[in-house]
Amino acid sequence: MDKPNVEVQTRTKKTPLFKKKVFWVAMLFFAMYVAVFLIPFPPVSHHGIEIGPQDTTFQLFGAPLKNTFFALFISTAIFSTIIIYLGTGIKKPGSTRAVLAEMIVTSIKSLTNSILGHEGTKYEVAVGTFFGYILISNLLGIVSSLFVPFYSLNQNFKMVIAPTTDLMVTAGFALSATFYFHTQYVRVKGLGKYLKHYISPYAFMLPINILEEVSRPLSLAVRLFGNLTGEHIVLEVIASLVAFVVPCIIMMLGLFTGSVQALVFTMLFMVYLQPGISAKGGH
Amino acid sequence: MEINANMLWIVQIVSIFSASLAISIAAFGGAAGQGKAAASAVDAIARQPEAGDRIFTSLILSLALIESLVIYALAVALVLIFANPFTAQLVKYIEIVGK
Repeated sequence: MDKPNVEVQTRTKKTPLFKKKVFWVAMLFFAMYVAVFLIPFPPVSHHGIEIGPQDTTFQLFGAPLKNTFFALFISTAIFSTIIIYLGTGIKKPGSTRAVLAEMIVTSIKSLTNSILGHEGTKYEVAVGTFFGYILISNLLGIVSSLFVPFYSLNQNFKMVIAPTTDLMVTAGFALSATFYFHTQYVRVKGLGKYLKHYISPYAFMLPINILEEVSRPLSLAVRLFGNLTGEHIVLEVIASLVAFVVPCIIMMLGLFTGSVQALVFTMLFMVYLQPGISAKGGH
Repeated sequence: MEINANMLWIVQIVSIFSASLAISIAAFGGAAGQGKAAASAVDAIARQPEAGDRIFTSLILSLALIESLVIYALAVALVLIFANPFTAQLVKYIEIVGK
């Protein structure tokens, strides 16, 4: 019984901080961050808070492409890379990659199970995709604040920004979620029951039910957009006052906000999905 | 009614004032509601710690639903400050009149 404990203790023996690789990587990033502020930049021409979609120098058929378009590409690339890295090529159980993949899968399973119950096992993939994609899109905004000093160099550095500060991107997320749970309602319970739930419990509730269904994607989109935009406005205002270390506090708050908003979007998606797929009946 | 540049100032002043008013009232109501929800959730978890996970889940959901109303007010305030349709319309009119 004693042997594993001894092994664990020897493995986690104190190594001095300057011998760790992680420490030097962090110091490298910090040095780069300091060096950026020491480089003399030309004076910034604009004085204003720039949040959300802005024009870049790239064009498609003569129309300027917004920076959130590229930001969505970046977050898609990061998300697919993580999923492909974790999902393929696991050699042996117990390796770091296998443990990470297992952790993610079990946490998504428990999240789905807590709201949808045992009927939700089919929908774990959709739930996990929404959660991961929105989480990475939100957290890209934290990375974007490292690029703020470069804005005066080139307009195209604004491409690294949270894509969810664009209302069109969040509307896309919300509309795809809405399309998904409506089609699942029809697929699981049939078209008759789907149409019947508009006139339940009484026929005169029809306009109220339609209004409820219409307001769902609207509220999903505006909630995500408003939270992320508000957080980024606070970040920019603080950064325009004190640009050096103080924004880090707001960035930590931003980590929390981004994760909670991704969780809230996923949970509301599951709550809206539940009357369509549960055997207990509608709401 | 004569349209001149003074009206632009009036519209901008009214927009700024109403944006701050909207945000302050919404934040007051939202904070009161969220405080009530959080207080009763903490009460419930203290009384029954084993149900903490389920209570936490519903707490997060209800906080999000309360907060969404505040976020609507924020969206209205953002529109009034950064993308005011009335100011743009007035600028267009003034340009036409100036010609």
